[in-house]
Amino acid sequence: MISYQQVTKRYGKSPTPAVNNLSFTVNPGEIVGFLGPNGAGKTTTIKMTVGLTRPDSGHVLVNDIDVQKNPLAVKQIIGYVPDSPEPFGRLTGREYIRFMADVFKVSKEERERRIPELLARFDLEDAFNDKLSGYSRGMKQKVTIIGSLIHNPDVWILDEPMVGLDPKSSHTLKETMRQHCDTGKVVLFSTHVLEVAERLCDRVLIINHGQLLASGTIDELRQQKGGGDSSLESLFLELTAQ
Amino acid sequence: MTLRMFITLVRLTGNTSARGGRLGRGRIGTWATYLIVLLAFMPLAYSLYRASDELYAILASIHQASAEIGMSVVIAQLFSLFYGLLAAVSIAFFATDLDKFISLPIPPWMILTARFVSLWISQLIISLPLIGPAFAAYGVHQRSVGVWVSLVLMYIIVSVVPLLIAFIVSILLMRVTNVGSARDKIRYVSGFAVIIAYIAIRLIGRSQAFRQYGTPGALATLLTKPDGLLHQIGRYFPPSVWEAKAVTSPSLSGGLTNWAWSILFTAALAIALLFLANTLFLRGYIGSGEVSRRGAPLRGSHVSGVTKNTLGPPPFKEAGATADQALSVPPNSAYALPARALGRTLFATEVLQFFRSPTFTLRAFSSIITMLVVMIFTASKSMSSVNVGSYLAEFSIGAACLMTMLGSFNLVAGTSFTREGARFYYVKSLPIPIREWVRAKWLLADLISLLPAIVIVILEATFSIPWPAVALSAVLGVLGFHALNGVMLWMDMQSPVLDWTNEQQAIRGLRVLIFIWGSMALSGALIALTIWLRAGLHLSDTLLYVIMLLVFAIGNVLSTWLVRANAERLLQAVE
Ligand SMILES: Nc1ncnc2c1ncn2[C@@H]1O[C@H](COP(=O)(O)OP(=O)(O)OP(=O)(O)O)[C@@H](O)[C@H]1O
Ligand SMILES: [Mg+2]
Repeated sequence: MISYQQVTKRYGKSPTPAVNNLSFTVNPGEIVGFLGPNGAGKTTTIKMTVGLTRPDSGHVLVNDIDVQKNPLAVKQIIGYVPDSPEPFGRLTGREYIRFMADVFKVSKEERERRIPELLARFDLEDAFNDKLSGYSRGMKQKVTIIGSLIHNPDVWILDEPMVGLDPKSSHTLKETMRQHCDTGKVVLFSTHVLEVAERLCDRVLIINHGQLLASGTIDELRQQKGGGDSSLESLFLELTAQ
Repeated sequence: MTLRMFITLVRLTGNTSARGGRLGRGRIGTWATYLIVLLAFMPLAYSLYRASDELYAILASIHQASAEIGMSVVIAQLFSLFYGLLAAVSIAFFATDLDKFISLPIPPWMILTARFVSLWISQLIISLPLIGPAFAAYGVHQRSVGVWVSLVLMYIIVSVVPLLIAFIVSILLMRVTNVGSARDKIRYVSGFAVIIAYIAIRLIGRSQAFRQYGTPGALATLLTKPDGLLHQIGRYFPPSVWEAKAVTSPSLSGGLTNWAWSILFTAALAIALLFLANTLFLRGYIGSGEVSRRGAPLRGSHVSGVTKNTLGPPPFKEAGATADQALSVPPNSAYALPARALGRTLFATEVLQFFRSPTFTLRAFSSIITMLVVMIFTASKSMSSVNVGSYLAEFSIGAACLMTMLGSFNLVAGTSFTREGARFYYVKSLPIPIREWVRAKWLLADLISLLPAIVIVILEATFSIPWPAVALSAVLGVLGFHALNGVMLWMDMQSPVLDWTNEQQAIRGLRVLIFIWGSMALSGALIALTIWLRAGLHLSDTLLYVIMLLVFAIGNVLSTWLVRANAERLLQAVE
């Protein structure tokens, strides 16, 4: 479970906060899509969750642990895929995955089970022994995804994970996200692809200017906006118009 | 229009030029930082100036004052050439931001020239300590505005010729080596070849310069000729002589002639570079970033799963599979990837990343190797004639100071977090205690600092220093570089430069000079302290050792405290 409690974050002396008094909760067994225009504050919110920046005020709790009070415990249960993958270019896929497995203290049996499975899933067996700097953009994205899943995290956070993935990998990723949350775990991801959000998410959050505009299932959002079967796109455009 | 675009290009190449750290994160402005640093180095700068001034007096008394300018020009040019070769390959071929410019309709010569100018600007700062003192001493004695103008002009252009040569060589080199898949290996080999050539030039230059003048008569003729000494110094590279004489020539026409020669030669090289930039540069560049890898063949499974049907509704929500059911691949012990403890994994990764980066490795080892070879060379010539016996304590403490100083020259500790670059943020999101991360980095720095220390210990042993003295100097040396590495780690944590686009940017700039000058000043101070304790207070050997051990131990306590107390806070603050 992730819970944001009146979180506010301002970069430097900027007059407008990047995230403004944001409160919401993501429950176990739920895939939540994080939507919003460019610069809305999605990445900032995610970074506060994984301990990359600190909120000016408010709290972020992951499984009831405060990120600021006990960052290590939180990081241990999170799998994080950043918006631009910066893996260890000089390591090979094998060395990188081993590093991640070591960092997350993954047992021998789990390694034997999960690594071949994940590699097969994302078609990376052939490149496993190559240096990451030679990977294509999508391959870097995929190896980062594998690294983030190596410890079967309770909370899986992905920042625009579909970018750069081929249709099959993107499909696999969506499937993997679904399966992950079906085992009772939390999946939170940001995206600009509304169809993905519409089809995959149990709930979507729409933010703009760092503030939560709407939250709920697509149907609930439709109802709020006076019913009809308006597409998520028109809902999104309407909500973020100001 | 073109000029404006060019200036933009130079600025975008940007932070290849000197870049200082912000002390105290935002509380003190960048300029204030520079000022503080400058003030802190005033004593060192002044003592360098005094030394140059004395040299001037000696040389002037034998009418060879021009040799002082010649010497500093040659040293600065050799250094620029050596440094330029490593830097040129890095910023003109292995920079990740180059693709952005090459894909734009900008002529290749302009891209390359912009990189050249940015390297030149940073070289201005780096060569200042090499030629500043000598130039200043010369200028002060000449008391002429014309000479000062000449000196300033010469300071600005002194590294142009070697940098032009470095760029030309690197273009040719990259064109030739842009074959096959072993590029990193070729970079290592050519990098070390450059280091060895550099050392060879320095050593041969030293031993050859005066060989044929071994007889007093010959030396006398050398000294009676005007500029005789200068010609001897610049024998292997006439442009150095022209440039030195352009500044020192007493007659206006003599000065102008040498200026003309210098400028003509520079222009010829510049034209050659522009020509190569337009012809060979791109061909050498394209593919230089490739990494060897087996291409994965396209298999049926790459496409077979993708049909309109699987992508469209029904929504994935209804798939209902659990992660365990979804396991389609059997467990495979080949993928067990043996587990390591966190500390070991961090250190192993640190080592892999360091040694697989030719830029970092070559930078670390070039300075160590150069210093050591020059030292061994000098020692083997002079040591036999010195009776170490009566200065045993001073000698072994001096050796320890040397280990401390050389330990910082590799810059490993001082670039610990800077080396991570953009990856820093990713690692920060992992459950790694900052203390462990710092420890891995400190350990790597110590490991590299250990190498020159071992060589120095072996040297001491070959000069038949009694083993207790050797052991004491080894202990002091290890304590010394460990403490200094800690301080440099702390300085790097203050404000790591993480936005670099090529590795060269991570290991250069003002901060690097601060490290090198700082450690020189520190070991100088320690040696001064030793001499004062001995000559001033007449302490016994034992007491001297005890005091120095205490000093080094306190240094360690302080630096450990500095790192422990601040690491968490400083690294958390990097966002
Ligand atoms: N490092 C930073 N320094 C200063 N301001 C920043 C920084 N990162 C983000 N911002 C500002 O914070 C605001 C929110 O940015 P954020 O990256 O969270 O947006 P986003 O929703 O992820 O956008 P996108 O869809 O483009 O990824 C923007 O106004 C941005 O300018
Ligand atoms: Mg974003």
